[in-house]
Amino acid sequence: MNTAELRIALIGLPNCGKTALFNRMTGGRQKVANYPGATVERKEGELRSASGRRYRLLDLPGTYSLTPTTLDEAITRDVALGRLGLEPRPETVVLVADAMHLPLSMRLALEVKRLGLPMIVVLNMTDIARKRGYAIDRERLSREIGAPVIETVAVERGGADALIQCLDTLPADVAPVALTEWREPSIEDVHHTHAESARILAAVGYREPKRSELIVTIDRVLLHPLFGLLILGVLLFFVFQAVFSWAAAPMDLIDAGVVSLAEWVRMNMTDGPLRSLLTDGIIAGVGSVIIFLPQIIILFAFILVLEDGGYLPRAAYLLDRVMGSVGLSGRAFIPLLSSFACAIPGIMATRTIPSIRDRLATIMVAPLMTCSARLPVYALLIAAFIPDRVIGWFNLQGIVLFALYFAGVVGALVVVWTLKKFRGGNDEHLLMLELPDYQWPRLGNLALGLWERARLFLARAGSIILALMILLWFLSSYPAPPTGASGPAIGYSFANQLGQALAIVLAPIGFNWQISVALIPGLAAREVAVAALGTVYALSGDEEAVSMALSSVIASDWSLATGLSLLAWYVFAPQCLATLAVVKRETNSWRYPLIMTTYLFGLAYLAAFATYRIALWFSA
Amino acid sequence: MMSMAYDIWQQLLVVLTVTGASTYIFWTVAGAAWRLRLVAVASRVLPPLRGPLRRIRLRLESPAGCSACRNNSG
Amino acid sequence: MSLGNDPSGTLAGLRAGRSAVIERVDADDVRARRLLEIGFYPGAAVEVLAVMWPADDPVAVRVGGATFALRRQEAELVKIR
Repeated sequence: MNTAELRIALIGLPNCGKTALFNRMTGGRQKVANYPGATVERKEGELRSASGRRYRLLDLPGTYSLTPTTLDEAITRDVALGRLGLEPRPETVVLVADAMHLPLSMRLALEVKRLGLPMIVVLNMTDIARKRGYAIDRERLSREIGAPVIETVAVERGGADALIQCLDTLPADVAPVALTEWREPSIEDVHHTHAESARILAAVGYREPKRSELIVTIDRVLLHPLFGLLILGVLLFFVFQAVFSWAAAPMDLIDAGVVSLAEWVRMNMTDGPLRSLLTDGIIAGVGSVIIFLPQIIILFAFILVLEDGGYLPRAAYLLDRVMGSVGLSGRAFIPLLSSFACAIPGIMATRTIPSIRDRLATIMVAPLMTCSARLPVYALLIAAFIPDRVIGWFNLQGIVLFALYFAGVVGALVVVWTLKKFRGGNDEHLLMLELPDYQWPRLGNLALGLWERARLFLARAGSIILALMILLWFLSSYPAPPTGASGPAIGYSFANQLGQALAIVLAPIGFNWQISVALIPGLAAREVAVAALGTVYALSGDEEAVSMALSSVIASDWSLATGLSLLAWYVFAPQCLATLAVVKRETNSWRYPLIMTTYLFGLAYLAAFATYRIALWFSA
Repeated sequence: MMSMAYDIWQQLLVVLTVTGASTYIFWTVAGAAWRLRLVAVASRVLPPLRGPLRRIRLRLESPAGCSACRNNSG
Repeated sequence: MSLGNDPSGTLAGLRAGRSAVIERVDADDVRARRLLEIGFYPGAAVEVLAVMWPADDPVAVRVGGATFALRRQEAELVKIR
């Protein structure tokens, strides 16, 4: 045990800028894991001050009090009490108070003080507050509350320096604080801490920052029952249009790059298995996935801007009735919205839903939210089968994409409603959602988030997808056709045999053997199917066909009905092992991932079947 | 003959790549028990690698190691 | 659950744009306790920013310098003057 490293825990209200402060102090030196035995994110970072001292910072989940209503808050309390098994008790608590919302922060500070740990109070966001007329006597506050009071501006460089200096003045060898008598605060205690907080703030000359009239006016519009919903709808629609139209140029660029790389390899290598592995396996496969990076970046940029700006909880407010009508809590909106990027963080975000039934229901339908990994599949099929036409203001392809997203949402609502019908469930849903002040999205934050997303996407492409494509190439190239055989080489391969076997089950919904084969590695992750199709078709075609875009290749090989059927399949099918693994972890059993897999594949088959038959009937 | 040597290198490279990819996939999908078996087999088949393989085995066997609780945000 | 109750005298009955002072919160269950903790305590000023259509559910209220969205059921627990 390294006694030179002080363990510091950051505690504060949600939305107090605690995480920004944590990031400011730890730089990139963070480690994200899970608390042992619980599915709550544990964020630990290392701080090395100018004087050479080292600290371990722990960013605890935001909480309104030490009486928890969610699992997150329970973790904060338990870590602060040293009750959480292997997690050692922190030696010092930094209470991060939001200068814009001091009364509640002070109340929490008073509760935290009862823990008996050395405490430092930090007033964050003082820059904004000062502009709004905030004033306070810091010295006096420090005396009243019995702890040093430091001001920080977490979003500015050097904004945490004063805090770090204060940490340096702490004695290096702090004896572990024994857990003195602490009992859970009673109702009277809550009343008391409110009164005490008000008294202290009055005594130290606290002037409350005036709220921004601009924000009030904006809220009047955005929270308006009619206009608010209208704006939400328009906003979402705009996002989908943008994802397609803005990404077109960068995608063409990447496509050209991939094709020319393949050409270069083909020209500079002799024909042989290695060249085939490179061009048809690796380049064709991974290339067909990487090309969708621009679309994913654009979608994430919008989500991050809305999140940073503070709009998302307001959308939850607007949609709470809609969600309530099928039996979901409005709090499910943010996890479900996150699932539009990727279901995995979305499912993890359901930890903030207090009711277990609601949480399970939300987890069950999170994969139906069109995740970003579906984008490559949708984009490929739309490019191949939906004409690029403009109808009035709207692009037909964008409309179809929106319709697919909409179908996922409607599917989810129907599933939840059915779940509630069969399994009952009470109507007690806690909402009590805070609507934080709007703020300008921080570009630095945005860039960091996008970079992280892009990095994750490319890393996945570079590792598991690459490996799967190599394996698929192997299965598609061997056994090699005997000399003198006619037809494409792939017709003799393992892949073909596997595909033909699956195709028996999948033929009724219009899938040929190439699709069937692609769906197998496609189980690992949704975008892998695109890569797999790229590889399978690269190996099937002659030289000319290979240099055509995959979308053109499948447009000429499949019927419209098949294309539409595959689209319908992908709205529902759980082609993502990682998601199932996370569900297992979050629910601590195999039961729910199994139920989820079964019902999703069932829905996928039904939807594909209906789409295929209807499309065939129309085209006949 | 030059072209024959080139061919053999090519084929060897392909075999190594495919084996590597397959091992990686197995490793990613498998739980700790299967990974340990893989490490045991590899120790027998590839004696030169015994050192690093032993380290991997120890890391797998330690309770609640860092890798065991790393969350999967993909 | 409580659609039949008369909401007047509670936060649920307060119209958009109006303010009031909290008299008390029925603190018998966990919801009421959480309301208390986030700022809905006796003597605090509260203002309704917006109500949703059709059933005034949920409401957006401002209390203690922060803004919260509350279900109608939750708002009914807050008695006002």
